[in-house]
Amino acid sequence: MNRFNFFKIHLVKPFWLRFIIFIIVGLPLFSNSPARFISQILSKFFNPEFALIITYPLISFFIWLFCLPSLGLKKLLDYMAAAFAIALTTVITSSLLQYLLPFIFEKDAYASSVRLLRLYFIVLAVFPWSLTFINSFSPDSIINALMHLKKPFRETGLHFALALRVFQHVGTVVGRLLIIWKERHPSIIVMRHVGEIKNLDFIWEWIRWLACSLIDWVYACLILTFEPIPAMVNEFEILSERNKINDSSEK
Amino acid sequence: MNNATYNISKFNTFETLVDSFVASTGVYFPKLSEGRNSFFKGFYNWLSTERTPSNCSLITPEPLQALSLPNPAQVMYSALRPILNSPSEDCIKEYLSKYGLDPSISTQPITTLSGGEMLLLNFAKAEAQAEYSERLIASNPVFWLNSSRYHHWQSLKEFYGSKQKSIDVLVLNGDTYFDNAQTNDDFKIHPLEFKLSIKEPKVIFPEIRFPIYHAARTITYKCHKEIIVKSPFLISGDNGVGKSIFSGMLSSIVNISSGDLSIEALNGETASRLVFQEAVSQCFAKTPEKLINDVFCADLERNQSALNVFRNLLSEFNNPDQHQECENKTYTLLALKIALIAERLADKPALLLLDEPGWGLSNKDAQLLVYKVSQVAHDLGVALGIVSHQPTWHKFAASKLTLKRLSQNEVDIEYESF
Repeated sequence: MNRFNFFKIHLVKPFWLRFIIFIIVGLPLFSNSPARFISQILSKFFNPEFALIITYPLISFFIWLFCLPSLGLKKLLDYMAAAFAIALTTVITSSLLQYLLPFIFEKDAYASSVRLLRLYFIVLAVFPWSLTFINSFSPDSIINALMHLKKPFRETGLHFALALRVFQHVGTVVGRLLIIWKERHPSIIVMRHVGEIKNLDFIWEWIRWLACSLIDWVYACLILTFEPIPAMVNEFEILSERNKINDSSEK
Repeated sequence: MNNATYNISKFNTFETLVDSFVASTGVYFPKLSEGRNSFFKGFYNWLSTERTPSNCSLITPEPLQALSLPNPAQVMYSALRPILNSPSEDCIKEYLSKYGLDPSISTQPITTLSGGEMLLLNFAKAEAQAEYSERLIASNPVFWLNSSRYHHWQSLKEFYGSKQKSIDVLVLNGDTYFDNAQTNDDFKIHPLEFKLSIKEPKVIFPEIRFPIYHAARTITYKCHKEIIVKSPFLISGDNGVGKSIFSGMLSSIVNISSGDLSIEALNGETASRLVFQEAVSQCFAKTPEKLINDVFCADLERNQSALNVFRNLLSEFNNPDQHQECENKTYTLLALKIALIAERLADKPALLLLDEPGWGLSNKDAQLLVYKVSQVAHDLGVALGIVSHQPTWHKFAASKLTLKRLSQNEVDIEYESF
């Protein structure tokens, strides 16, 4: 047995204990209280402002460490690469908006900078945490665990299992689309065909193409994620019906 | 008395086949070739319609659509769970082996299986479901199979017969197994030559550690030669032997870890383009013409050239049957395939690879499509490769590359010229 198996969250059994651990570890991502608590402890050793600032990277670091044994270094780095891209885009867009629309945002520049910093590190942690969370539960084991339950818990559980599977399916869809995209545009973020256009014209066309591509990706992900839902529902319904028959025969 | 029935329904177009499948199962499948607006409209109809569970075992128009769980082990576990209290790993592997699947694929992600492997997994699942499903509704149940695997369908059919369960089969006209009608069309294509250099290319698929462990896998193509290949050529071989991976390597989508695989056309071009087997997801939910316009948004010359190829090829399919069955023929799977081909031809690569070009088309349309595409491609100096196990393509091919499995990780490539 691998000596790191103890630290692999996706192997923790039963599944409800795994769920509780995930919620506890992910709590700082949804509530300010854990960060405030940690910064209070750190402020005994450092300047309070500095303590607050280093709390967020510390929390992100802890969450990465939590995900690492399950994901492995390569997968964690893949997830983090995507997380960095999203976090940078979010923070840069937010600061641009703050500059362009100052009347909407708070006046205190320092407070808004700290808020952006917090947002940045939370996005960096949310991405690996949520993907580890979604993929650590298998819908079929949830369905099987729910088989012994009575209505309405079983129906609710089946809906939860279906929702989980749909979220997991997003990862599959993105992988499939990426291969198709790579065939069409080998350099991924620059279009394959640029014709004779040069310099400023090229930059303008590239921005236009990038914006259209983002919209295409969103639609394609949405549609291809929705696509198998009817078949999934049908399959889950068959299992549910079968369980009802089993229940009535047991009675 | 055995009341089980065995019905075969034949259709001219994929759209009518899907409509019939939806009507008989109640399971809605969106038409991605009609673009995003049509998809959302259709999906809203599905969401707002009350339906009764079909309780049928399904082999869907695309084999992947009926496989809702991430890997074969989970698919089989959930299918067997209602009849066996706790299906063992050995039991699952036994089902997979019965349908010619290597038990080692049980932890492999579904999406990395080949079309044939997915279909065989559907067979294994359908057998597991036979105890509690009312009937089997199978769409194109042998299309993805090599002829040496047709007996698996026969086994499944007999199994359902023995359980007195009915089977409804939906196929497109001219299916090689269900409708072995020979066409007398004479397809004469002047061959085009190009150089293919194979130097024992090796592909490594790294191990998957999360969420389920799956060991690393390698495929080595044990072949070291330079061949002058005559186009159009066929890439053929058994299910799961690595045909799609080979075409992926040729078009630089699959990375070669050692060895080399390269092509050189007479016009000096070395790039190759590929039209994947599952054409619908390649459109990114766009209509065919919108797809071409968006790909060439910065290159008007190529845009026009692609649109011309698209319109010319589409006009070849002016048959009355299609007009009757599809109100707007530019939104069909056929039109979508033509758009994908036109987009790649406008790029003028050395080689255009069509992975299972006949999928979703009647035999007549598929043959006409490949014939016309090979003419246009050769006129542009582009060689054409067909990746398929369907015997129907032999009459087009000027040469053939056959992939043969030597061991689990080694494949041999044989070349023959006709």
